[in-house]
Amino acid sequence: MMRDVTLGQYFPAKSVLHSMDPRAKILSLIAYIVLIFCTFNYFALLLTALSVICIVLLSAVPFRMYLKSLKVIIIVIVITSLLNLFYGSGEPIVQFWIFKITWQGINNAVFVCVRIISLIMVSSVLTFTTSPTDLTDALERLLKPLTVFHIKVHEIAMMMTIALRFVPTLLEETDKIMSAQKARGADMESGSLSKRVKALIPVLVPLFVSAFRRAYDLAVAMECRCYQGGNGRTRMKQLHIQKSDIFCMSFVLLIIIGVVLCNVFLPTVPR
Amino acid sequence: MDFITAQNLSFRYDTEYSQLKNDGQRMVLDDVSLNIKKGEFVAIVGHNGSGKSTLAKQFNAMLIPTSGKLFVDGIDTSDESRCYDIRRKVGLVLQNPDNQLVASIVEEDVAFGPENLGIEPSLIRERVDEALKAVDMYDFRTFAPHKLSGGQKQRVAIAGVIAMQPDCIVLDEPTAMLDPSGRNEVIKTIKRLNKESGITVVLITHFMEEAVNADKVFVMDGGKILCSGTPYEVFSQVELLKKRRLDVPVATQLCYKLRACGVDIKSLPLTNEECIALLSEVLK
Amino acid sequence: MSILRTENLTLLYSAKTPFEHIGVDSISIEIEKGDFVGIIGHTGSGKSSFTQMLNGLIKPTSGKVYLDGEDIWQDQRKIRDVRFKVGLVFQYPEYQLFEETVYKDIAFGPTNMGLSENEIKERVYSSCKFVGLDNSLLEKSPFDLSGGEKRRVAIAGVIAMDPEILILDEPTAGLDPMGRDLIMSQLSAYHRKRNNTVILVSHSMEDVAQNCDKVLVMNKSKCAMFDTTKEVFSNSELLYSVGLKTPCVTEITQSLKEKGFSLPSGILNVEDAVIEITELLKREGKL
Repeated sequence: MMRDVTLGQYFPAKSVLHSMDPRAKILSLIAYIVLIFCTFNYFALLLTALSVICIVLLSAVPFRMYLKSLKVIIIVIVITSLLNLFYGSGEPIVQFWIFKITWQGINNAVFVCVRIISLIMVSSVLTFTTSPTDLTDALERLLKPLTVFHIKVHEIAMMMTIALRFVPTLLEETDKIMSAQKARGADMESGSLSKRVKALIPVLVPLFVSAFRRAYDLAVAMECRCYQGGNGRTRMKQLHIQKSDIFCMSFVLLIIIGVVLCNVFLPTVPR
Repeated sequence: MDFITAQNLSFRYDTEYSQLKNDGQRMVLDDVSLNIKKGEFVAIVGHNGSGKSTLAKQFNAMLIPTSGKLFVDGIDTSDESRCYDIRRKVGLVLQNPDNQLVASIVEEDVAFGPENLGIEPSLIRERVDEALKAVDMYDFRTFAPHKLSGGQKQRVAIAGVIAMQPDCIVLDEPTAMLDPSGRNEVIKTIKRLNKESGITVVLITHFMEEAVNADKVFVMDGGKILCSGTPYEVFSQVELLKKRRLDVPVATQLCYKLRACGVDIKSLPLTNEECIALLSEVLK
Repeated sequence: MSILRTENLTLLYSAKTPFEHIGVDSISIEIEKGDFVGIIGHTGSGKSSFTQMLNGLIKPTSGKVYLDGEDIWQDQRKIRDVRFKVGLVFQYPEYQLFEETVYKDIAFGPTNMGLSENEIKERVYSSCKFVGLDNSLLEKSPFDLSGGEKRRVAIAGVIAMDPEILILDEPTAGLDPMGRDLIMSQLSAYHRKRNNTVILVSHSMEDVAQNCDKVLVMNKSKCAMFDTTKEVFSNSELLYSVGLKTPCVTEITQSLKEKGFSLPSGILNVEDAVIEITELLKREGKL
């Protein structure tokens, strides 16, 4: 049923990563993304890949969940790998028709493949182990310095919070309106594309009307509860840097140093 | 001591929209005078469009009288600089429980009000836990609102107001969209808050069975107060209420009709229990 | 022959997954043409799922629905015709209004049926009459109406399909006493005039007691009882055990009866109670 839809893919479990400060997790993720694209030889690549596996194991999220998120982009991985494989320059090892496979091609393909997979895995770790609310919260705090540039960080975060709150409600409502219109004989399952788009009007109009009504009510409710924007506001949940955060951040730092050392002291793969 | 005092309060919506609809001149509230004492449980009943919801929004300075005065704990609501002081003293709970919860976790929603007041984080935690316990929703503190029943959501909304530690809560038809069991939960919670925590309660409703619980009832009709008094005083005026097509509790109705048939009934009952006791006396 | 019959009607949610739970559990009932049937039960007792299976909005996991003796799922393609024959008014139906004018909105159902312009017009006007809407409202936008009027427009939108069976899911929810009375009296007038079958899902025992001939009591996805209104409300024990109540007046007279006063059981409205009590007093020479 539609009401069971939850935003994001938060997977509640008990792990070091779940209990980490979401800010530390976001920063680590950013560091990792940069790192993944700064691997210039196989040693560095292997080190990053192994560390990613470590992190995935630490997350206490079943491995099939990661496979699920990989499944979505498996085609992208395959196509980019193949393109890289066939379009490397240099001495061909095998050649048939217009395709030639070179050492460089193989290298490129392996790098692209491992990089994309690692990227998906680490990002999934963040979304699996952090609830959407914690994520918005952390983003608001991390982006706070941007208020200097008149960017309304609090307002943006508030909008995200409200969106997270209302998406399930509106999904449920869509479901209800669709059933109600079907009960009046609306046909939404058959016909040409233009017919189907037209058939959406009886669903979209009430949905928008209801969304506006809810927005108005919510605004009144927020004002009643003394909401005056971000100024002078405190937060119940305080984020604290704990031992686990320091542990994880140092782990990330170690890997960064390792990759840098690999890049500097070991030969770069010819590409 | 009077907590809320309205003196000849009149109000009309002064927007382009209402002028467009040609009722810009219509007074939504017309010369309303009332007072509500500290710790009292007051019910305001009336039809849709009788002005009761508009009155509710006057109590926490969401709307300001067009003429006349409204004082909340001695503060004039037309004093704009004090409007947040008033909203802190008078919490408002709205009809649709779905549309007044802000956060996607129960306890964070309850914390929203205190956070806006700029209260110390550790204190907020205390208040949130207390408020959730007061409405009996503590066990649900980490739930998402859309996983709760209507009655539970409404109780969370009440907790959100309680956490601001108001002197008074105004509830605008809080049970209109709930099923009977949800309605029971909410009314029980309201009664308990009034009795145990001494919070002044203003309950706006069109369920007469709910108004029976109040210390005082105001009946609104066409922007005016039609009658007021204790539930006994108000509901014994069966004819007046019926003429305005307002409901009367079934027990009252039954005994009223029996009396009209010549049965010797002196005072009209409000609840089923009273009615049963009274009729057993008569029939004995 | 009954107009609507269900046979072991069962609905499983998320079947064959760990989240499997039962929505409707093997309900077999028969509804005669012209019946006014009430369905009562706790929130989550399966009332909504049950009614949505009656008009083919939800396909049952097992069991059958027979409309006029025919299995409604016999031919998948004809399911839309079933929805025209079994009109379903959802809870808070005013939230489904979408057209520019009241007229067009009421005409939505008949237009989907493929009726001619003239027929549609006739249907819109007659259904407006049933719900007591003034014709002057027809050219207005439905969004400019009051809550009670919107509700009646939405109900008219289903009545305009001229269904053989009209199902209403809590048509009075959220309305004030005046709006409630209005809709209930119009419904009973509609039922009287058309002599159609009406099914009313309601939380208000009073509304069900006043209007319905038969009542289906649902509890935990099952049919707890299906009998005449009088029988159902005389069985206060069963109703209490499934978390429901009897109408106030029934509760009062029942308690008096239990105290030894000779009143009949199953008194459903105030008028009857007044008659019974005054008669009892007269019999005993106290009046």
